[in-house]
Amino acid sequence: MIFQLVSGLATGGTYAIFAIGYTLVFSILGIINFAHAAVFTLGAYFTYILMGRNITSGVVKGTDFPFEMTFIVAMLVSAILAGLISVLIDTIAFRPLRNRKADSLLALVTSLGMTIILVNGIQYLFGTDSYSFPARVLGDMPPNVKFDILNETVTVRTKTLVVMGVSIVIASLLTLFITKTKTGRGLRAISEDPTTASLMGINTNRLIMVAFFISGFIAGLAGTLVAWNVSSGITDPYFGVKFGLKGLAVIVLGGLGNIPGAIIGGLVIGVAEAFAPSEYTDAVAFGILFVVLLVRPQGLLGQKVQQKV
Amino acid sequence: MNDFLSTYGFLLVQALFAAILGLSLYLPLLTGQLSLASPGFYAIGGYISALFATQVFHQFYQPFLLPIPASISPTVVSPLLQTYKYANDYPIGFLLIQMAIAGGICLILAGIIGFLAIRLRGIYLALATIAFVEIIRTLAEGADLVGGASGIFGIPQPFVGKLDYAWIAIPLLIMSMVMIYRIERGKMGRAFRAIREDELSVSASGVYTTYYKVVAFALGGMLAGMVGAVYAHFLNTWNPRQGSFDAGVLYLTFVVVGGSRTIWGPVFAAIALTILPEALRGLSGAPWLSDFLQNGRLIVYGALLTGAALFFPQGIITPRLLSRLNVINRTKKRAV
Repeated sequence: MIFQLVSGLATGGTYAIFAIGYTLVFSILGIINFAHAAVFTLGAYFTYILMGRNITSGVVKGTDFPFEMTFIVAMLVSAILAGLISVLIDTIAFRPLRNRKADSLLALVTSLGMTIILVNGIQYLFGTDSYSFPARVLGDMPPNVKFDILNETVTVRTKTLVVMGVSIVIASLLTLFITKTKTGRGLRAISEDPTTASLMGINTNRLIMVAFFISGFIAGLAGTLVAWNVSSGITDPYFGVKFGLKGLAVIVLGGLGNIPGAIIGGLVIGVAEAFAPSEYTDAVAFGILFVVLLVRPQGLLGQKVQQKV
Repeated sequence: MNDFLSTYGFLLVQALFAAILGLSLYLPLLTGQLSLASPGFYAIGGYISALFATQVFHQFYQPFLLPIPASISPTVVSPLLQTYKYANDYPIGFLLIQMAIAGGICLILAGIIGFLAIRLRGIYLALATIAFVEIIRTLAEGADLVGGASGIFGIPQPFVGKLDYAWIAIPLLIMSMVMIYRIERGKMGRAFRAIREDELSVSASGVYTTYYKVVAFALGGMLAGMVGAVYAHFLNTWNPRQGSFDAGVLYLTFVVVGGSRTIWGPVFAAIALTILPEALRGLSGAPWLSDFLQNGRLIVYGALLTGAALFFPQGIITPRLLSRLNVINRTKKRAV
């Protein structure tokens, strides 16, 4: 019972860290950025390369990269690169549509197009081999931590704790950023009404670029951490895309665009999956998604929006 | 020509079916509903058809079997292969009955799902339909009746070659296009368009919008189910991978790239986009280019998709383009 709860929370932690950046873009632009999953994947690959590890397939096979960074430095650099890619995606795929005030359907198609380009680009460059990070990149960590809960000893993997800790820190920082800083206030104004916001002197395109950078930065960080956390490593170029769909369930459950909601949604879905029979694990997330949409479309923490004439 | 058809027959028929699947998404979009549920109904239709063909109808006909070559020892060949591997005379009547059953069940099911999901709008409806597709997929993976993750094998073949499936695909495509054309021209089409433009004011003027939205949703489901029913035979096997979320987004690209305001848009784009990746494979100029097109052809595909959405926001085939073509035809006739 407690074992399932703990393992569910561990899976939920990876869902949550994936969903935070996903929900950020939705909260501001009201679009679902499928390419988030590709940026997530790219982040993991960047970290791997920056650490000077070997690429064993694809076009760049056997190339000696002149990098030799430690895990943490590589992770941060790769997160910055992922952020820049994310800004690039916005510039190519979303900004022209925004300037034209185009149908939001088109944003779905362009973000899908960008995902196809990125995922197949990764496959072209780095092949379909799986790459995993060496053990002990964070120094001598004990592999497990033991807790005593209700007279039962529960063992939790240290990596899991790190992932959960990082996602909570990121979500808190991001919430502070959105609610307290001037940029965050500007972003909230844009999400309310972009035209009025720009009339009030907010540089909408620049702020949206900032939002995409942050979203990509978090995605890159999350990709690295998840690839390091799971034993299989970076399985293939579709590594992140598999999280993309579950991520949708997570952010809807938490309330689309709600940042703390993404964490709660992730943990709830992770735990629910841990209690479900193993062959129907995937149905749980989508069953929850379907029911939530029918019963409470605004999600757990979302606020109801009144329809206006 | 014969060589070409035997090599690319599979692809051509695939493109025709893709066009019908594009139309199955175009229908709900006529009322402004973004539904990605088509792959779910497509999968259900395929399973219904596969189950009927392998569990029910196979008792009613005696397959004409070619002798199994003596080089293969009978103990190696599985019973399933012995029955079906060399048979291609599955009665087409059975296939048509299966299509009718699959279409009917999907129509009713889509009606129910549509009725439940109807109050969701825009992206929320899309998400609910994605959830539906994924639930169907996972349930199929877990259910023993439909063979779990490995699926149903040895679905009997009514035709000798894959290209012959065009005898089903072309009439089905024409019939769905005629159906949608008739709907668009009539009272129902007017209601559909009005709901798409402004649902609130339509319902305020006394139109029961739920009815029209459910009808559009259900007809879309029916088309997808019927395609699935043939496709199970076409592929010879049916498994949970057939109806996935990616497929739904792919059909959406057919509609958006082709144009969501005319029936020709999704048909044109579905055929073009299905053939495109294979056509890219065939292009070869410089050696490095051909290498890139071999392994990276989907990169080009993604770029074309993005470009089409950016530069043709109304889709490639717009009502204006069609009327302009009409004008050209008319002036030509007058000149004669």
